[in-house]
Amino acid sequence: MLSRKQMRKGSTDVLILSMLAERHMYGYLIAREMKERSEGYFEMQEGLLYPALHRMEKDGLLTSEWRTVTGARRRKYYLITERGRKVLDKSVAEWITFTRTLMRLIGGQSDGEPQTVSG
Amino acid sequence: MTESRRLYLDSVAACLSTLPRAKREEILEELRGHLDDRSRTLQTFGLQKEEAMQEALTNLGSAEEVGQSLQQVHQRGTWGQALLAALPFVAFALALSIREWGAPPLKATPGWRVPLYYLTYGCMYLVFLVGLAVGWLRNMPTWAYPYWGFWFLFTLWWSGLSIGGRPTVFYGLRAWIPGLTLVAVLALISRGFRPLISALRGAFRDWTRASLALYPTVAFLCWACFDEVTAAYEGPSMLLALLLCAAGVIGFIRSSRRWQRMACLFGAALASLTVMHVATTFYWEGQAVLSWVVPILAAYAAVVVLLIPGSIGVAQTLWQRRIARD
Repeated sequence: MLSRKQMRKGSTDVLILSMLAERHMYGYLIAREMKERSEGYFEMQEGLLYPALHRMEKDGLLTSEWRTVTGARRRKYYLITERGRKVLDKSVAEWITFTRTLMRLIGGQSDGEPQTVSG
Repeated sequence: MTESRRLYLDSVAACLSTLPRAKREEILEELRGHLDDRSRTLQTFGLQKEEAMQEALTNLGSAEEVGQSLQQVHQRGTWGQALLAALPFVAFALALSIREWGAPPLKATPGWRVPLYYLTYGCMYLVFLVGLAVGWLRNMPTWAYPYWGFWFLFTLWWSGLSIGGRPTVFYGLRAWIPGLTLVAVLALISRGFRPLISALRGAFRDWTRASLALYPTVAFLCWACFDEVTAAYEGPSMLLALLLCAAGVIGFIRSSRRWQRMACLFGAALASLTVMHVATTFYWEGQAVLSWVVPILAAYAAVVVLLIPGSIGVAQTLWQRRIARD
């Protein structure tokens, strides 16, 4: 049986890209928005957000820039790249297809509510 | 608040010890900022400063897990960097292949043997020097280490170091002039020897880089053992052996963990030395055999890839323990 953790594991990159497609954000803000918008469903271990961000930056999906906040304090803001947008569009399309197909197979209605399979 | 955060970040920093200092400091600054932001938010919900920081540290997760995850991301090179690291091996392979296959009419023509030697090995040496220069100007990234290894080996060879025979051309101390002149020019451009010092520190911090710098000796050994072989399969065998070395280097750069890097280098070294051994035994004994020499070759690969660089790792660990004790 798939746990919530396993199901969330494959969606982290897409979530990060979709949030950065709206506006530039720094790491803590990404973690906070992810938790608030999902009402706690996507609450990941915050420290593991940074390896994901750095990996995507290395892969060319994001870029980053340091911005001065106050005095000597700086924040690293992440921006999505064109390549990141293309990957996001492709990933979202795949997720939609995946979800629709899954719901169809487990007897889902068009509005997304599952029916009970057993008779 | 400061103490618990400091201890946490020190633990993360320990996992990032193989990264360049600037990159390490950048990562720590980012995490520090995250902790401060999180702590500030929690304080608005009524938590005391120390409580808020403890909560922020808990939310961030295990320092070791975070540090190792970050280290794996940054340790792994890109495909471009992997191909750059493999380039000197490919250049060596091409030089030998062109000499053996690409120009038989020239080889057979009187007076062309030495010019052909200059042409092929000259182009190869140029690749080493260009890689050395670009690596220097980029502050000695990991992919640049094999260029230094090859440059040093071939300069030693052409200066007259004999491995069972003299080279076709022999320059003595003059062999060092091109490389050392280039180093002098680079030192003027960069206003010092910081990249070289950075390279040495990098090898001390991450002993696998020393393995990479020593790895060209495996390719060199394959070439030296093939030297006496004059058969149609000499060229393809050498090409295969050297391309296996290149594959090992690509695997090294693309790996994120130390044991993976060592496995790539050791495995490729063993494979290329075995190819060399099989081809030479076929030439001398008329049949391809895996003899008692193979364990010796494996031992050589282990010494080059693991033992010598690993001793640097041991020295580094002992040094860090001494600093911690003091």
